[in-house]
Amino acid sequence: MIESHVIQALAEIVGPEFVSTDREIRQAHTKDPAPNITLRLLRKDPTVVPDAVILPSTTEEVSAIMRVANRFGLKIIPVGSGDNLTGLCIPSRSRSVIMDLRRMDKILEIDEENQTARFQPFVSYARLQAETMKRGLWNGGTPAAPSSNTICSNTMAYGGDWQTSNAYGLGTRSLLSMTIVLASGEILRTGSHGINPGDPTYWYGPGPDLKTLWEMLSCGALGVCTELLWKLHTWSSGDWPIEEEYHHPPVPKNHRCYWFRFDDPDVAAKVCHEICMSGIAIGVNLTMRSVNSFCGEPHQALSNKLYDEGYYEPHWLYVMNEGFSKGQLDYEEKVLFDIIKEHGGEPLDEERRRKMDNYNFDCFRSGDFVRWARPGIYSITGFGRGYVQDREKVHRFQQSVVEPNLKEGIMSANTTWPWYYAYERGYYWLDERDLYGDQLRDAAVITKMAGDLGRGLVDAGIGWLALFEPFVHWHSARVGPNFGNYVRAVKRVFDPKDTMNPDKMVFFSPPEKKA
Amino acid sequence: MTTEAKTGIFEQLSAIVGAANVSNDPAVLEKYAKDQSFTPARKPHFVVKPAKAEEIQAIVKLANQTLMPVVPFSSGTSFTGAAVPSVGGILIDLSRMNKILDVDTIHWHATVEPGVTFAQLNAELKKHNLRVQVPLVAPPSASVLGTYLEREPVPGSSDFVYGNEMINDIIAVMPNGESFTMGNIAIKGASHTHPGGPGLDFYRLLVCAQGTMGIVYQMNVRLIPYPKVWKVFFSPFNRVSQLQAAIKKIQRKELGYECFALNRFDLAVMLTDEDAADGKALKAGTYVGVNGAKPWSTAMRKRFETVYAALPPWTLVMSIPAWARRPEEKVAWQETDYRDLAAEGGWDVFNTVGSIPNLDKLLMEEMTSPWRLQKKFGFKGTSQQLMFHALGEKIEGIENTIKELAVKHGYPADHIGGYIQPIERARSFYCIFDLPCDPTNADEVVRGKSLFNEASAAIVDKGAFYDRPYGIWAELMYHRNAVYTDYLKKLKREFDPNLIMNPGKLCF
Amino acid sequence: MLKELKDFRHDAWQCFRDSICKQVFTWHNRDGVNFWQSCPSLAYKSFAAYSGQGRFDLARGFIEGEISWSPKLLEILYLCQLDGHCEYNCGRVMELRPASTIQAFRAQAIKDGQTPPGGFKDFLAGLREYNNPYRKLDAERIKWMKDLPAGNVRRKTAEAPSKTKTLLYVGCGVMRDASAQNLPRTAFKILQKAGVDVGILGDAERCCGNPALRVGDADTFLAMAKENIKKFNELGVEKLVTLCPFCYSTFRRDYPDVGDRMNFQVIHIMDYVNQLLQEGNLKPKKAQNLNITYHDPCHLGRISGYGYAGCNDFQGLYDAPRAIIKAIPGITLSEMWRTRDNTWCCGAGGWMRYGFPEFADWTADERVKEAKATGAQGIATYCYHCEENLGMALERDGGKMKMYNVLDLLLETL
Repeated sequence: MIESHVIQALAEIVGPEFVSTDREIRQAHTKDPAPNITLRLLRKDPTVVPDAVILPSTTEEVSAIMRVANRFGLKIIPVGSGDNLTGLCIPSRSRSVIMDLRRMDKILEIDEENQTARFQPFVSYARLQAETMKRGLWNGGTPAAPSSNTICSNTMAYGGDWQTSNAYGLGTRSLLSMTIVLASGEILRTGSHGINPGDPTYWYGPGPDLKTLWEMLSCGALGVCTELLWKLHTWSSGDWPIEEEYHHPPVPKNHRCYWFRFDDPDVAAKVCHEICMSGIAIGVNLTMRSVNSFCGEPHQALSNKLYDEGYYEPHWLYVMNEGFSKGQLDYEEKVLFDIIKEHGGEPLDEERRRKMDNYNFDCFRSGDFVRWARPGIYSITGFGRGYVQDREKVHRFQQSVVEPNLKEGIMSANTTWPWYYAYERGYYWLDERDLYGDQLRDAAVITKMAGDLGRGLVDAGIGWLALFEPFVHWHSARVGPNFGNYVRAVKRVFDPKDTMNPDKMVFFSPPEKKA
Repeated sequence: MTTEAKTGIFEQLSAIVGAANVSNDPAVLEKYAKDQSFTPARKPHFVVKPAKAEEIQAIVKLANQTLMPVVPFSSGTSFTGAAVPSVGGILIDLSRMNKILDVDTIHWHATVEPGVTFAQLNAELKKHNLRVQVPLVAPPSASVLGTYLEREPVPGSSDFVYGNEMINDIIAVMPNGESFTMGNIAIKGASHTHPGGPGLDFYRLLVCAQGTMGIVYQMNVRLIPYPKVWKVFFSPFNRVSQLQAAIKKIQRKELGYECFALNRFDLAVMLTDEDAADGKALKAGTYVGVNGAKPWSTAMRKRFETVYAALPPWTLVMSIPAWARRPEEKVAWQETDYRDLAAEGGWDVFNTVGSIPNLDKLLMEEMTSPWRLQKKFGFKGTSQQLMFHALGEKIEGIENTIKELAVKHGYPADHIGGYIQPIERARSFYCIFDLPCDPTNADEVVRGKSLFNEASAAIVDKGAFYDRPYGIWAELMYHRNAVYTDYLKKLKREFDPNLIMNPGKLCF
Repeated sequence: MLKELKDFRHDAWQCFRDSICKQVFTWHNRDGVNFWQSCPSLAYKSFAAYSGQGRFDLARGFIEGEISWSPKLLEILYLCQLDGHCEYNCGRVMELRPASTIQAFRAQAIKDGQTPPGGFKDFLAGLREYNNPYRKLDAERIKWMKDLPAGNVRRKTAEAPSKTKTLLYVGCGVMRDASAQNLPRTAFKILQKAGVDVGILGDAERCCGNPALRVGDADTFLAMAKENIKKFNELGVEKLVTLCPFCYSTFRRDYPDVGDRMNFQVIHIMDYVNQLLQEGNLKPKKAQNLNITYHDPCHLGRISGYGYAGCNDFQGLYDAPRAIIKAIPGITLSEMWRTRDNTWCCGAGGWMRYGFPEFADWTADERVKEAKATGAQGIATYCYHCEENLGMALERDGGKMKMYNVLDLLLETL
């Protein structure tokens, strides 16, 4: 437990009503959806419970808290919406304090002239969109994660993988500048924002760019982001449309959404590649059958039934076009159908296409997407970055890794091909494989399967998004040891005392002996 | 350093790269002692030319053992002082490493070594109808790797994706002599996709680092095809404030691809026929040497005046290429939409300006294989470039400041070059303003330097940001962000504890 | 039968921490600055424990023996209006039920002999003693009828059943004070004008059981519910028209859990009146010339059905009140941002005025800010509790905006 005089020091910073050691208050920070957290809870691991929860409201308060943390050996875990699949927001050490950023929830400025927004870490995708769309702008996308998630933590955790990444890339591409409170309490600002606070002129530097270290995968282990500047894009649709008919929201004006079905995944992949290389479409996704069934049906029981019956099939392609003019939309549609005609594939029948109305809407601002968590536990096993055209690697992986991992009761990658998202005009693709199961029954199995599939992805040379410390020993044969050394070097510079979210990005100090 | 010590190092370097590839000949060292910037000249102690990564690694390890600095050098076309040794040391000339290692015509990327030039790479890629994008101001002899590593924007930077992040991955020799792969290919067998990872995104610590964090010896870069159908339009503007507003409108509708503006001076330079003797050097990229360029003939100057007089203060170049399917239709709808937009926005769209024939063809060549802007160095002998980013509405104020200061220092405001490049859909802009200077005139050099320094400082307060902090810009930037600077130094100390990697640059 | 806390073990473990319980359903978010929060207790206290997610974690911890009863736990459980916004969002997408979990958790507290916190302790005692939430005698139920002609609204008893199969269920709300009597009086007058026959139970009416259910006294609720179902069935009621949204939600959503067969359909008075309006039985004539905003009572929406709103399992009563308003000549309807399924609780949900009145006040004050931002002159709604709580908030705000009852507005035009 943290000594009362230390809690008092924290209370003097934020006010006593915004720091708590009540067991019940701390309970709300003992679980996130990761299977490994479920396992820790099932074995009654006491280190999942933080020692305190604190709610700062300004950068200065965060800075003061960090100084107290340093002085008294606290471990600070900054938390946004807290939704993640790898246990990033759950403590593993004693003297852990959850720094819940929910009071830092302001949209500070929307600069329409220079198409940027400036906001605090607890602003969700949906909120920023609500404010920008009415001004003819938007942030460019939404992850399949719910758009109730906070932009800051979603981007800094996994980079921000959007359905519209064909046009706009990873979320990090839109992350312009940051204000970071470091473990020392010092306040760092990046890019032109560092020279002149709030200035959105340029995102990198000066010179070597430090923003690169936080913007993705730093897991709150290098500092707390308390303000972001974000690039906005033109939103050509007027305001955000209304869902007049439940489950059948309209496609936003000036956008067109298309669904195609394929019997052969290789043909589907070829078509995907061609679409991107033709320079059209803001989003090109080869969707995951399971997710289609979840989004297409209001009830999971029906999703499961129709999935099993083959109503929802493996190789459905989804293309989103945005047009600033009819000329553009018509041209892109012609090109799209040229490609289909040339290579194969057919438009999805109207009945099933209509089922995907939710999905269409979700790709702009996700609402129903999180249904993929409905069956129970959910794990992203693989997040490779490669080419949709790497068919040999993919087939080899499916045969040598996925199929041997067949497990009854786990709706898994063995029955569904990966979810492919096009990035940056098709220069690369993200492929995602998910596992679903019952939270309690399958946590251990899924954890193991996730590990096998993840390792397999690296071994197959498909690539792996997140090489964190817990995975280093799996991957060093393929990746080499020096990246782990450099991650540690960065940690040494920014957080020598391992104050910030220990054991997530890197095992920096020896694990505690459990009492 | 003692002669014995120097000799010892010489021998060790010879053992690494072969005696023919090491030099401490003063005449040779002299060539590397300066570039076209005002950076004070300083000779290295040695120049070595490695042929492969293992040799670079060995050199860096030797540098650590002997505490002798290393300075990476790729093509010598830098105007930034980055490859001029601050404290001597071993200058590593990477030009022997000039192989194009790989070209992927399906996924549009190529892997290059530091010595590969734009001319070399584009000649090879042309066979596949592909090209690497070239900054308008980069000579054909510039290193692709070196240029991209310095974040020099290209005319297609107006697009959010295609023209902005062209590096897919890099491999570097780190200050401790290890080789470090950054990007997806860090995983064996993985593809060239994205420079992020492994773990954290390290690569941008080495981008714009002027070789202070590591020596990049391999880079994979993105390519785009040549257009099948292509139209280029021109619009005259009197003022930057109107120009940037128009560019924003265009970019907010995401029309066209390349989009940029040149002022009267720069465009006139581009369009003036060079002296016959200089043609070859210009196209080879050897027109500008360490001491600048040979000044123009009087005849050329006269031709320039004629062209100059016909041009508007600023010309917007709007490029509508189509390299994929139904290219005629694509160009057709974009042209229609562009003309509608311009009519609504109140600016004219022409096929040329100044009645220059085939202006579109000329700009097409410049957008794919530029060489003409090098000529500006011959205007007076050399040129100092103010390169910065600024928000659109700030540029006119910055331009006025530069002109006022030029006049104050006795320079004609009419002879300042200007290039404005929108980036990221005109969310911001990259600008280069040129201050020509006669390097043989001592008084002019003093005045030129004084103007450059004063202008550099003054425009910061008007909104200019130097993301590439060369020379005095480093001080201007780093003094305004103490925490950032402090942590850069800490990182540097962590990665390069012996401070051997190009010391004296940036804030190090 | 009523679900118990252990029945929500799966839900509690399943919580995905997606934050959809904490803000307006993302597809419906039209304001990112002021009017985007969905959970009053979370907005009030800021700690995540006060959200649907937080209470799921508490439920999980309690079920697994990680935590046990404490004053703090009780405070977190009872500082919630049970307005159901978390359950709409989470239910729609995840098919999980955070509000129902909280309800079952309270029932567990009472079953385990815990004392509900704040004013709920006395509230529960009064409920048990008087069988209604107001510590009043049943004679109070008919005071509203004084000086009204009998007309076509007749007492319906076993001894003297009126012919009509439609029962107008007034609700305990009428007993609260004189102002509450306005609701049945207006309903009565409108139904007279429409010429329809309805029966009432008068002082034989008994509490629907909502207060007992909300405070966690499952046994008292069950007893009340069973008795009501039996009575309505025996009286041959086919259509039960309720005035109070609390009663409405309880009859529609919670009574089916009792397990006894219900031979009657439940509709709200506004739905009924709208039908009469659309059929031409009521003719609005006089113009009102008023700019109002309409507050959707939570209990007419989100937790008034057995399925999940937004899944076509049922839809909340949002259109009928608006149709009534729009039928009134001269009325301008200026909508707030959090409407329909995303309405922000008036503050009085879950009998919060009796439990933690400062919290009820704060919640109402937040709603008034939103109402004011529309530029409307007044807030219109239909609910004993919303009208009282929002009315008090409007007074605290200086009284410039007025509180209106939708059927009063209609009556004035007829």
